[in-house]
Amino acid sequence: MKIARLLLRLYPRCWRDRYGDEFMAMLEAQRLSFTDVLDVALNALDAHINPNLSFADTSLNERVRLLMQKLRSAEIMIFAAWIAFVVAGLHFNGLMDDSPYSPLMGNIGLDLDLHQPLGVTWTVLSAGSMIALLAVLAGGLPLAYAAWQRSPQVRRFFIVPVVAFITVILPPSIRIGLRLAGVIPSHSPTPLGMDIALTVWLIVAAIASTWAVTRAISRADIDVRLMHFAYLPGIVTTLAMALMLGATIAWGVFAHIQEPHLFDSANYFVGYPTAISWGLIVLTMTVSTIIAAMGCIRGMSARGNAEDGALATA
Amino acid sequence: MGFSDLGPFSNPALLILASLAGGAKHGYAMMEDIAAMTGTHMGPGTLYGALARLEEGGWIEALPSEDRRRPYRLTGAGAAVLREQLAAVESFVATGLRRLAEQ
Repeated sequence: MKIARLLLRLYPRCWRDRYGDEFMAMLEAQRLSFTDVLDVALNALDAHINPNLSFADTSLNERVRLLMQKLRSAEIMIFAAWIAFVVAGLHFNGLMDDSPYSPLMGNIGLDLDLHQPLGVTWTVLSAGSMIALLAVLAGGLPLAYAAWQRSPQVRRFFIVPVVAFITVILPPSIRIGLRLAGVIPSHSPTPLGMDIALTVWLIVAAIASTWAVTRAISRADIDVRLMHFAYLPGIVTTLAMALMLGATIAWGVFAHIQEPHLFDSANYFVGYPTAISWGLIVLTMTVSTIIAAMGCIRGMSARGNAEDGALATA
Repeated sequence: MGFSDLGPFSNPALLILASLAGGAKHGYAMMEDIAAMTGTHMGPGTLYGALARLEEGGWIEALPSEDRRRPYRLTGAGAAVLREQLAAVESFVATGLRRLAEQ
């Protein structure tokens, strides 16, 4: 039964190893209704969030090891979600540069003018991005350093983000250089084709860098205490992402109220945010925040159960 | 983990324990037994979510597989927790009925 096989695939691998055969036999023995399918999908999510449910037959030491692996994958989930969020945020920021909204944003900074809600939401978004960046650095740099120091075989993976960063930063830098040198007019807009190519390249570079860094971290020999420590900045990152998502949604609502002729334009390819581009950015941010939150819950469950297991072993 | 820690899974878990009190059963047999006992259909995902928690808590244990189906049976701890939970339900029912009779 194809649907039963598909539903089983929703569960984590270790859950399938433990319950897969009997669960399939049960699914195949009945006619599944829509609510049954929904019920299985929701409970598969629960199994991802509570990895300890898959270890009924596993020894205590093995269980602690597997849970630490889960914690690592939870942290990787948060990191990957943050990268996706950053790409959406950078695109939003790029659309906002020199946009017709700028005069409506007021003084963007710590001196907030509450009469200019677009400026307030933008400032909250900027503050959230700084908090998230600092948290990722606080949690991620010790992990990256430990991976570099203790696992020379993974060092090659760190070349990818460096090369990706250089290739992403180079074209705009050259363009700025050419503007400063007077080769191209100082206020000439970036050609649309180049804009799209740079955005696509940014996404490719982000995916490649995320893949490389997560590969390095998942293969490296990293101290359990560092993994425990990195989880806390992971929570801060997720909260900052939720804050930024809220600010971005609020920005769109205020933009729609204040400047409907700009915001409600049914065009994606303009040099400022419209309902369509804002909607896609919000969608990406929402999915990323949900994934990061799932990583937090998964990590919390893995940490709690690993600690219980470690106490029981002691 | 105590029985109350099962949260939203405590009701399905109680139904599973009550079903296994009648003898060892595999997943589908439990589902049918629960439907016969209560008249409600327990979703397959909910059944296995509760089953995994009960096994994790040591209230039920798996028996060797028969073909692809694996039967489960109640442990001593499971029987004790079921007795305790049913006694609480019994007391609640008795109180409710008494209050109704006094109206």
